[in-house]
Amino acid sequence: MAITPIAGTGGGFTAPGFAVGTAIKFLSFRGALEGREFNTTGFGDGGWVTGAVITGRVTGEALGILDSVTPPVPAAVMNATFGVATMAVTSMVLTFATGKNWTFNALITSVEIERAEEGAASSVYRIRFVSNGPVAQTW
Amino acid sequence: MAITPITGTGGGFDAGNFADELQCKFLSWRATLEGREFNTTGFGDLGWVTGQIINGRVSGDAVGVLTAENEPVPDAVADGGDFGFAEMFVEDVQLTVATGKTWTFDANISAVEIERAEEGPASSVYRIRFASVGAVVQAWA
Repeated sequence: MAITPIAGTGGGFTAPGFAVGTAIKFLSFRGALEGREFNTTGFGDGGWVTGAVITGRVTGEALGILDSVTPPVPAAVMNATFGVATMAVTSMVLTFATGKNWTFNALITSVEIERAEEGAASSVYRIRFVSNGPVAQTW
Repeated sequence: MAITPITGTGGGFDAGNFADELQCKFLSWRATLEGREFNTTGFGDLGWVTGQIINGRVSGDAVGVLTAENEPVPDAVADGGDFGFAEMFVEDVQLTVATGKTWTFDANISAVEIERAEEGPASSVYRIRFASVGAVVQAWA
């Protein structure tokens, strides 16, 4: 069966107000849509487990190159009060290819930076996120 | 999109009175700023999870070369006596990404790892793990 794999150019990752403000150049991302399962196993199931899934969310991370021009996190996050609002992002977009994306509000759960050895490689930037509410898919 | 990657010279790691006493030669470090999430999922969320983030901290590690001239931990920590809280607390840990670009914070040293290499093939390794205590200040000049 012939298919058209998603590869090459056209991908993208944006986290308005957070990573875009830092002008990080992203290389790749991954996202997982998952739901919690609640157990409905009971009489009449013949001894087999049954369940249903609800309360969905997308979790994932994006990987980039640490840029010397802009800081890895917005200044509003790195002040004396580490607050709720500063780690929230509206309209994060995971773009698989042109016109094919997932869009959702998100929470930034962590920002990881790695200072490489001298000469060995570029320093790395990794942002981890979880969706905060509904996820819209465009294809 | 053109950017200016951070690489080459200019990096650094300083763990105040802890690392100063050791004078270890560090090679690289990594750090993660993360927050705890509390769940706000409820009626009206249409079956989707919602939450908020608070309680931030930076944790990470730095890797260096174990040297013959310096002890892997300060005498006050490994003196055969009490292993105390105070000796594992460090003020003004500084992670330098490049010149003038830093994260600075107080920290607890949660672990010091040493590795003795085989004879010949490599240098023995020194790794220090840390977790921030209180606010983190970012400078990006």
